[in-house]
Amino acid sequence: MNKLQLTFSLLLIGTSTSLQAIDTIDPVIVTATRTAQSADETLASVTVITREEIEQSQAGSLMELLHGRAASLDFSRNGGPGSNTSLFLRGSESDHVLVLIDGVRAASVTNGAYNWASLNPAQIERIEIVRGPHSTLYGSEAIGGVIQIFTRRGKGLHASLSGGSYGTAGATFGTGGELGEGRYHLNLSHKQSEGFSTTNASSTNYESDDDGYKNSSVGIGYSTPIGNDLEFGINLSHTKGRNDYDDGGYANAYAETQNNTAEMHIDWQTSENWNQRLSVNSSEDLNESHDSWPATITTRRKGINWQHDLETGHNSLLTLGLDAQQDHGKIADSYDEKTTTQAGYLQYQWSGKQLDLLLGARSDQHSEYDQHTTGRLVVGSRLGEGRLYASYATAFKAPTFNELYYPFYGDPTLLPEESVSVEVGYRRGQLRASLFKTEIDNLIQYNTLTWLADNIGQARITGAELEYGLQVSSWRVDSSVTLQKAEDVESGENLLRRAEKKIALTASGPVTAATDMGIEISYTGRREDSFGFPSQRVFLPSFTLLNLTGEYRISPNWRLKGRVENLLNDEYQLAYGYNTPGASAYISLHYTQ
Amino acid sequence: MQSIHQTLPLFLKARPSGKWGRFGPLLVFSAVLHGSVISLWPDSESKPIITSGNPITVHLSPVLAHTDSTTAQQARSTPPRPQRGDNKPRSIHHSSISQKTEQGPSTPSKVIDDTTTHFDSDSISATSQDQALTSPGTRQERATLISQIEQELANHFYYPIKARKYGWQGEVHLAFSIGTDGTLFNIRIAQGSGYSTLDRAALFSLSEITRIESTLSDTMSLELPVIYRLHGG
Repeated sequence: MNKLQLTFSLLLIGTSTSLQAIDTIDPVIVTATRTAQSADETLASVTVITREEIEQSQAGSLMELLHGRAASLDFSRNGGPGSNTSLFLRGSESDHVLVLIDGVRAASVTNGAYNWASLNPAQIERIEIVRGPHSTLYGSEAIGGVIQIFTRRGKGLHASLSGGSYGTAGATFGTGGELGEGRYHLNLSHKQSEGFSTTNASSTNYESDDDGYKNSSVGIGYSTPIGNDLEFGINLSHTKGRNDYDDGGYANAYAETQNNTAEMHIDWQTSENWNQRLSVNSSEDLNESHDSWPATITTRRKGINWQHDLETGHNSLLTLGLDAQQDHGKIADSYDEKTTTQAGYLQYQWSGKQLDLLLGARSDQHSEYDQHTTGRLVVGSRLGEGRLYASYATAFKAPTFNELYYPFYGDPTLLPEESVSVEVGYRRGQLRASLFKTEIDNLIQYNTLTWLADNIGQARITGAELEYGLQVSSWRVDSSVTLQKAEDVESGENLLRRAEKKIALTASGPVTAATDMGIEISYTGRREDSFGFPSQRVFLPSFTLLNLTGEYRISPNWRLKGRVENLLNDEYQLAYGYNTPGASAYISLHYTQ
Repeated sequence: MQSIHQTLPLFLKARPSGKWGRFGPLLVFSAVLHGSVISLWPDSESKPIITSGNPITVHLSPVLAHTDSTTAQQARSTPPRPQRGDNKPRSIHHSSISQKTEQGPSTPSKVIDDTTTHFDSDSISATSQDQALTSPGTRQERATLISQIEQELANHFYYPIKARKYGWQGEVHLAFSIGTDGTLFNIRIAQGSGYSTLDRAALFSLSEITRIESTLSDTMSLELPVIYRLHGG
């Protein structure tokens, strides 16, 4: 029809004017890096770990997966996988990293930290590690950075069986696809291990028996468009775990944990330059310990967030949001308290031919400490083929429930811990380099004069990090180097369990048509730790981990995989008095539809 | 041991005590931030989307004449939004031009395959493959002109922040004419990408170029596909 019309009009007009054809020029291709959901990589230091990398690494725990895969991460763990695991991002405290799982705050409100042992990598689609403060978007906790975990999506059926050293066995099953107008996913995983003794003879809690763990998870989600402009999504997850540990005189101490989260959101394209998202979430975390100091600890969090993205001109974006959060923390026989937070925030990002600018501000109103305001300013510039940026940001961490309410320790008048960070970074393709400095003030510590928690600490962290990735024929090589100094300002002593030097290299690629191999090497410098009461300082020696991975494709649907961990059998320590896995091997069989 | 960490926070966060100072500049900083945001807030309507230096020329091509009537409507109206489910833009065939150009010499999908792997983040590039062109003016003249345009374009196109954030990709076809004095005019969208953000960015970028340093023997009408493509992440 159109063709006919065209021909007709050509004939008509062609008689009166000279005929001229329209030439199509070769396309201009405008490329850019997809922005991580947590932050724009052009203005912040971001590492993204995809499902593909998780599959390739075959890591059995989040710590094993992340260790050596991104700069500026320090882990400590009280034993083998399944034991309580802490992460220090850019040298900050373990509760200074905001962990979001499908957008839901995952940390316990009682001690403030997220337990990195609780989530099985089999349940994860993608991880975004954003280094540097982001309180202006996310509020409390985001001093060292933000780690956002998206649970597994995917199409079709997949299943696996695995087993290996220390009596470890696991199974996964998942499915996903179209359902009506929308998409669904369902993932199940189970993992268990007989383990090894969490402690060694240098610990006062030493017991020689093996300490195992179990972890079972289910995640389910559905998202669907509603008409042309709306999309609705829901995600639910449930995790149940048990881990054994050593508690000196108390034989067979163990803890049972349970975690439930629910998240719902609606995305609405209101007009051609206005998008908004309304999300509500709820999470519950239960921890019941059976040892010489038994405790039942419950965290319940409810949140609502309403965010707007407005295009405000040529290549600029204004983000506005409102946040409300209710936290409920309970330790049986100690306290049962609730806090509320309301916050408003805005972020303006503008990108010109040569310069980029980002301004952000957020104000939090909290039921205990009243009001706290944070800001962030980033200026970026093109430099050669890459981009250079400089940023200044403030961030904070609200006092934990233990710090506010624990009998004979907590103080409800405590102020938030607050930080100022400056950073200069450069990014060019897969090269990322940053220099940063963070000063944290009002750190909450035990005051020996008042016998209560008090805002008396001060820390200073300076560091340099470099990440470089390249493709060597069909092999993917990634490396990172971190140099950092994290110290207590008053005493000049190093902050515990944070290494000054870390170097890592991973490489993976095909060996034959049906076989892939991977290698992971990481060096972690010596760290300080403390033990006993009153505490004594001790050095944890440096260590090098060498891991190998392999994958063999039996048929288009079936794969056999193997992972060897700590091939050099380095007897390393992540916390004084606690054991770590020696040389160990794992094998798994995978089916994908 | 784990429970002790949980129940006795003094062990969890035991650090030597010290003095501290409050952060004075926090409030000042926030005030400055608020102020700057307000003062920097751009007015989206303040800039003209289309800058046509030379609105009507003697030498209008028939196809231009055909689409002229739809130009204004297309530039202002919102292209249909993409289907959310598959995250792909609907293909839109507004005018006869788009039908015609799909049979043109450069098949966009082919070009994408040829080029995507080479580009660094945030780089913009144009392909420089020579094409046989049929038109008034010598082949030489047109080839020079086109390479000039491509160079100009490479400096003007950008990937909109919002499109990067939402993962929007697509192809926008821009149609425009070049006068004998090198002036660009009659710039418009021949085929939308399905995302108004990308369409407007492409249109604005091209309209930033008012003139090409060149003289032509005759007015030329051209169509330029602009492909927005994200990688990484």
